[in-house]
Amino acid sequence: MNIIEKVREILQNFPKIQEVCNTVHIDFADPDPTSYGLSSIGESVISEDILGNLKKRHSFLLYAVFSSINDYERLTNTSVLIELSDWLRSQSGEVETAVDGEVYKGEIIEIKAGNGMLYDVPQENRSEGVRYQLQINADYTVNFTEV
Amino acid sequence: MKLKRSALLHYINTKFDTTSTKNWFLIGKDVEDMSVEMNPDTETVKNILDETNVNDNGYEPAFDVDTYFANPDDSEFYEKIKDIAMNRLTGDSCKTQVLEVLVDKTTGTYDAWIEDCIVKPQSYGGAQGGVRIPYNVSFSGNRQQVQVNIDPDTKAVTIVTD
Repeated sequence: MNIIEKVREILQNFPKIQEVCNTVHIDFADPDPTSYGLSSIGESVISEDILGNLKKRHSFLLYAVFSSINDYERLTNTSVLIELSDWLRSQSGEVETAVDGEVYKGEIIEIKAGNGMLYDVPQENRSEGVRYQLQINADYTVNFTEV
Repeated sequence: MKLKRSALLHYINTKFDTTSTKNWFLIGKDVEDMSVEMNPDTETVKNILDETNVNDNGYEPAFDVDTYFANPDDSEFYEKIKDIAMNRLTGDSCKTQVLEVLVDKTTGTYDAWIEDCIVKPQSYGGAQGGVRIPYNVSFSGNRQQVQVNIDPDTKAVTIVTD
């Protein structure tokens, strides 16, 4: 399971997401409320040890479409994003990275999330679903000495 | 073409017993910078004729492993470094062997050197993120050159000739 699949799996295990939908889409979110979409926006190497093992950071944007009729709903929406940020920090797991046809093991070191905010109001209509955005950074290792 | 840093590998014999079958633990995970300090011991002497002589007393090589995250999955090595640190072991209890391998060819056996050494934890604890036990390895003689094979995937080492 690569880092994108793993983060998607972790998000799907977030209890508040399980309550409202069964899947987190990739690079896409339905316009209807309680839809989630995960977009990969880049990856960088943080460090490399003397054996060539890597620590990498994969960045994501999570789009969440919530109902937004009044302040109460919007406060609930941002509260869910804060809960999700805190919950993500406690998550870990194994990931696999394919390099030149070989699959190498690694593990998630830390997932940080922040900057959850209202991002888009489609059709300028608050009564439809509005789109929130959450930035997620997942730091993980690639161990070239463990195949 | 210059050698990558991962071409110089250091292993510790986790048996901490120079007579039994060796089990080599690869050093370097989470370590971003590690050098064997040669610590040459020379002294310059000037005699009454104003002639300068240099006495070469050899080397006192050692290296610091500044990051080792305590990890029970490292089995024998973890158990030993824990034992040395927490039970304040000294002397022969800290004595084992270090194996240095230079992977400077694409095939065949590689040049390697075995030497007795003393392993000494320098501290334990560290910042948030994991329990660190940085340690120092001091070479203590009985150096010999050998040939080794290395599994390209796992970096497991096998001594071909003593």
